[in-house]
Amino acid sequence: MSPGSDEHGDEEARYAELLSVIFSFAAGDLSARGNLSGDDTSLDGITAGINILGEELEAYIAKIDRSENVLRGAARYSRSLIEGGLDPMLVVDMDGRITDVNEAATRMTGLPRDQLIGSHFPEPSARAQLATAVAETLANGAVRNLAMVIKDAAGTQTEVLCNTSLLHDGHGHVSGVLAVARDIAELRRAERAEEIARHDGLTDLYNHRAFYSLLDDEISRSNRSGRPISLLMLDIDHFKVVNDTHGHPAGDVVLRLLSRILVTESRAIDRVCRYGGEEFVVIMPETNASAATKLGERLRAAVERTPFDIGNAYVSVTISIGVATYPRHVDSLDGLVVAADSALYSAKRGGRNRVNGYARRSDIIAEPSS
Amino acid sequence: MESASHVTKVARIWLGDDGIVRVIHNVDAVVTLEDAQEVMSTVMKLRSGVSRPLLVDSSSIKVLARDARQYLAGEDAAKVATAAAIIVGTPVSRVLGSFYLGLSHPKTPSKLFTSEKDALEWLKDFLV
Repeated sequence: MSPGSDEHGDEEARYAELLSVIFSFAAGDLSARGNLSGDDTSLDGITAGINILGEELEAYIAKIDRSENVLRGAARYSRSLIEGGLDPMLVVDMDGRITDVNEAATRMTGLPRDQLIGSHFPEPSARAQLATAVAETLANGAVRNLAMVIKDAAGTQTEVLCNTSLLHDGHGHVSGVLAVARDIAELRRAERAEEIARHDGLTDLYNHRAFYSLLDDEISRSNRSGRPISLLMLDIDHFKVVNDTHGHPAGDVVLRLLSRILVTESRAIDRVCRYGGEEFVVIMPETNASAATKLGERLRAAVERTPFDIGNAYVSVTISIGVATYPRHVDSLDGLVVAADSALYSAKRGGRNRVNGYARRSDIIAEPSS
Repeated sequence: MESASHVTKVARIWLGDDGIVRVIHNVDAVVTLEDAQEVMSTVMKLRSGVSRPLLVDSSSIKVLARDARQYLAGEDAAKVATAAAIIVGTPVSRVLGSFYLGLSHPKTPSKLFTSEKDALEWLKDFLV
């Protein structure tokens, strides 16, 4: 073999080696490298270039691996947050189709994960509500405390408050909506219990405890605004006769009917409360003594002209009313109650079926109305 | 007056009386990160606290490792050199030089030359 053909054979072998390196890259082995012969040929230069290409690709892939690890960690973290939440969570795409749910959502809906994912929400009513929430979120960025009713597979309804927020893809573009629902059954039960605790069982008016709480609030508001509050304290005249003559059930009917008249004849801002027995109070915010006396007279007249249907008979009832005003007459909550009670006592002593303003020393603020 | 020549594993280094630091790589030098760091450390000692232009003769270098390329293109080199004129010669050194400029984006102004005379002429603009 001539020297020329040896040289040619070497070159062929080096090309084959370079091709082998390139094939290794293509097959995913980026660690392959070509050998430099040191003969200062172009082939050595190409080999050096391919080696650098391998190094750069390895570094690039390692960087991508690190990024993927970070992403995997972030995904696991998000998954933990979603699954760890006690509240049902749904992820919805731009078309309103559910793309992810947590365990709490499957429990609330009574539907398995695979039946929820890909759907627009199987239950028609919730589907419409969800569509509304998604549309509003896409328009405004979020929805807060949207009241929804979710019906599960067995037909049981759950009242929830739904909060939503936008989800973004890696480029910052909106990709969907995250909806978190909170079962508010417990909250509603607590609210109902609180309402029951604040209301009188017979008349459904605010009870004695609620009266003091409401009056305290109004005193604070009055202190801030500088506007007066008036308090009417009223009592059914000769109520004992009704009970003794017609029985206590009839007396209860009278109390209920009277309550209805008081609520109907009072203004929307007034608070009518049952103070105890046949005694009632009306808190009148932003009302001076003169206006309160006129409103008291309206209540008194309405009661006087109303026949009370107690089932087997009609009875006539009258009421006496005492009026006191904060801060004109007194400077405290307790003082206001005592003053109104004092005015009521005066109305009783004055002959009943009348409205009597609180009188401090010679300061007579209102004349008896009848 | 030229400084004494310092020798590392891969290069001979000295400060010329023109204020330009010379880094002359050995024939078939295989430059690792540690080698590059040793060279830069030597340059730092020679420069007397002044940033100086570098004449880097890589005309017969064989390998410049990736992390060495990144190091030479980074902040450390930029602190000690106002510019780097890189002399290339063999096909391998040309490829290494081209990849260095094209991929590593050195922070110091850098340029490839095949003539030492042209390289020194270009470096004169970077004397401080």
